[in-house]
Amino acid sequence: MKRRSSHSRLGLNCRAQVKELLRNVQLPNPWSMNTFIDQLETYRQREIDLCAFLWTPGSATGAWHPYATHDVIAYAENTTPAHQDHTIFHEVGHMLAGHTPRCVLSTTEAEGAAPHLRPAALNHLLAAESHALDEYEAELIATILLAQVAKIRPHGPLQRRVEAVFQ
Amino acid sequence: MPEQDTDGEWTFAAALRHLIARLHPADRGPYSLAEIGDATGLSRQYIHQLVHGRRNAPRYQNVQALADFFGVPPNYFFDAHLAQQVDSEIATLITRREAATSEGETEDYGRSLLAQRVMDLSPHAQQAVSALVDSLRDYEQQPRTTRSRRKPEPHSDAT
Repeated sequence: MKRRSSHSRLGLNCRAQVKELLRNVQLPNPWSMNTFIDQLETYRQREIDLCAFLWTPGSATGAWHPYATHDVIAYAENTTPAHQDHTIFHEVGHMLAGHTPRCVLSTTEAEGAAPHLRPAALNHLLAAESHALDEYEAELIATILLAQVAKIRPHGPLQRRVEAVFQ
Repeated sequence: MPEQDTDGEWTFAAALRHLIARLHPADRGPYSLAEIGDATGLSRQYIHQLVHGRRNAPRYQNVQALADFFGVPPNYFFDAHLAQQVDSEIATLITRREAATSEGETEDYGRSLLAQRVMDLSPHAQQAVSALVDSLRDYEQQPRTTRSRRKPEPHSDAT
C-alpha cells in the first residue's frame, strides 16, 4: 500500500505529472478530446476506448476499466461536452497517477454473489480508505488539465480569470 | 465458518464478534467499538457488553442499528442457517476482492475503477456496486472492431 504524502505535496506531484504528460502529448488546438485521446494512446502504447453510458441520479459520473491490452473510459452521454471532458480527464488522472483499480460489482453480480448483503456490507468489504485520496488526486489532475485546455480557447473574460489564478 | 460460543451455541455475541472481525475494508483492521458506536448511536460500553455476551436480549431497535451499519439482515444474529449463508457470501466477496487487486489477474471481472466527483464523497458514499458497471458490460459485449471508441464531437465550441 502506497504511503500518502500531505495534500500540498500531492498537489505538487499532480502538477509534475501533468507537466510531464504535456511534454509528450500536445493538447490539440482547436481543442478536441478525441484527438487528445488518440495522442495519449500513442504515447502510452495502449488503446483507450471511450464508452458513452446513460447517467441516472445516484450513479457514478464515469469509470475507468483497464483490460489486459486496452483501457475503457466511460462518460455520461446525457451531459454537456464540457462535463464529459471533465469526466474523461478525471479517469485519465487515475491512469496517470497509477491508481489500483478496485473491485466494483454490477448490480446483477452483487445480487448473484451476495443476495443477503446490503450496500453497506459491500462498501465495507470493497471500499478502502485510500480511495478518497485517489479521487482527490484524479480530480486535481483533471482540474489542471482543464485549466490548460481553457488557455487554448479564444481570448475572453473566462480565460483571463483562469490565467489570473495560475499566475 | 462462523465461530460459535464455548458451549457451541450460536449466540448474539458470537455473531457480532464474527461480523466485526470480517466486515471491514482490506486496507485497515476491524472497526473499533467507538467507530461502531459513532455510526449506530449506541454507546461504546453497550456494544462492549454485547460483544462479551453480557446482554443476551438486546432491544430490537439496537439490533436493527447494528444490522443496518453492517449491511446484514437483522435475523443474521438469531438464525444460524441464515448466518451461514451470509458468511459464505462475505467469503465470496473477500475472495473476489483479493483476485481483483492481485498482480497478474487475467480475468476481467469486477475490476473497474469508478470516478466520483470529490464534492459528492462522504465517508460512506463509496460505491462498491454500480449500475454503471452493467453499462460497461453491455458495451463490452459488442466486438471492439464495430463499436464506437470516441465521443461525438461538438459542432460548435461555446465557452
